[in-house]
Amino acid sequence: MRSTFSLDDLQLFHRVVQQGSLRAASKVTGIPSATLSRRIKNLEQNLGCRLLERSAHHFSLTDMGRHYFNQCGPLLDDLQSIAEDLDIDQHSLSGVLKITAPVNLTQQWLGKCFFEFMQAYPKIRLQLVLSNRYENLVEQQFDAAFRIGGLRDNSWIGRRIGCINMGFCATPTYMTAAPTLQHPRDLLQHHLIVADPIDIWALTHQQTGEEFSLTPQAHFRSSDIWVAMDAASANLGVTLVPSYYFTHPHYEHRSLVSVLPEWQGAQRQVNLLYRDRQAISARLRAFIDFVVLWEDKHSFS
Amino acid sequence: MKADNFNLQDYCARIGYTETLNADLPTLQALMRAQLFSVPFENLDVQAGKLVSLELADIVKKIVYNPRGGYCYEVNSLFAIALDAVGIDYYLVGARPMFYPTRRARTHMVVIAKINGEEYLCDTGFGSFGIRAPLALSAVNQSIQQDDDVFRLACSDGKNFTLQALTKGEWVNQYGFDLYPHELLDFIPANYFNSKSPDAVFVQQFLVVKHDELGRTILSGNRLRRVEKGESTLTELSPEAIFTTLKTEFGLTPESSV
Repeated sequence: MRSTFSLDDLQLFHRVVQQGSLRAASKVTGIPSATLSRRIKNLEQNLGCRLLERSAHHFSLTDMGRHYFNQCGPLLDDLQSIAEDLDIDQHSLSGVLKITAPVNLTQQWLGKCFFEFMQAYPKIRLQLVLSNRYENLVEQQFDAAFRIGGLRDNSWIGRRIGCINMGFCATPTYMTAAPTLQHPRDLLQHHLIVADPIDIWALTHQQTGEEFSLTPQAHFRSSDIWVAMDAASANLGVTLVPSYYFTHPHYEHRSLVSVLPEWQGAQRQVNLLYRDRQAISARLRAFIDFVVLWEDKHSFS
Repeated sequence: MKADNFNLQDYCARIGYTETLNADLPTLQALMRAQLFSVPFENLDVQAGKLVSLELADIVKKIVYNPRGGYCYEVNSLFAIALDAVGIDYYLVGARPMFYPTRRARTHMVVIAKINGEEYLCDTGFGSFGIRAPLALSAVNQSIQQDDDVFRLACSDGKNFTLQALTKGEWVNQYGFDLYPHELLDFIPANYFNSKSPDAVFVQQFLVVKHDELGRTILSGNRLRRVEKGESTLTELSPEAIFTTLKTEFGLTPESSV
């Protein structure tokens, strides 16, 4: 079996047979008759059999040619409709978007953005994979990813959509009994609550720009920020957490107050990553535009 | 060595040191371990094409306040500045890395601290199998357990020492040194070599080491190795995962393209 025949040649053969003559096919396709004839000969050579009986003014199909025409016709139609579907899929505001985002960021902030997007685009389905770990974006075929921090891989396009500020909090009860706290230097005398993996506190004074860094000797360490907040609420000490937790509705119930408010931990960028600026689908374009607009209105920092 | 911008209290905050400070052995031991466990050995500047600065004020700013890590001249200089501030006597010596297949120059810098007439090898920045606490120079040719690692200071002539680590049942040479006192500026050529030479491992790939109570985590190139209780696990990382890992495992943020 020869396998190196051209799909284009096959389509032209199909078209010629449908039209009944080279001349008619030439009119429809805009391809000269001589070229059509040559392309069909080429196809016959590649297939190793004759498809057409030619005479001076017309042609007829050989048995082999008729069989081939009948078999290939539906397949060509299928190919055509698959390509059309693809086109619709790429340009319509429906279908599935697969997105990955950090767990806490989504619970506290981004979730609302996703829900509003779903309401604005009811035909688009959203598949959300929440993970605080590194996910392989290519292998898992994500359309877009929300990432905290920068990105080195240049094959992805990054769009900065926000910035996380880190602030200190504790309960008034703890602060009343604790040593004074006027400079982060004083934190050495305090009970510190650490939420992994933030094991170094790089701090900047918002007005003066003074920098101070601390490796906290954790009195209590938790791999979950909510639990760290709970510990602080239980008067166990001072903790450094993303300040968007402060704006969460539950926060008010927690009796925590901001301490050392002029000092903030290192800001971390939130980026929306996606690929292929050109071949981007309409639904992903709609999603990106929606997120960027939404972030403008709902900035957490 | 002294730096104008060095503040002992800020240094202690940076390394998470909350014990009392005295010019004695317990302080030396605790300080070295606190710095080793909080300041990563790292060559991000070299990988970014920079010549690493040996100006003491730059070192203090970079490690204490930014807060970054550094390679041997930086982290061991910082340690020396801290010893100076605490009142512990010390001097610097040059060491010859010995894990290469061929003999190499003395490009490593270590600190020898002196307490009550005894001298101790201190090192907070060796990119390979580094000690985890000060080693007394009098305790030569004997196995010394430090956490889950075993070291030996081989010496046959009373002058030349070789630090060895027990790896898979065999003593492996790490570096050799004698006790000729150096100044930091003696390491300027070696620093230039390690920052700029294509033959220097620091120029060739990321090399980041962070020690902790349980073991050490090492990133070399795209290989992430975790050594804990003598067990070693290896992960190969994609370029993007290297970037994420620098942040999550080592608390470092390299210059990003976004």
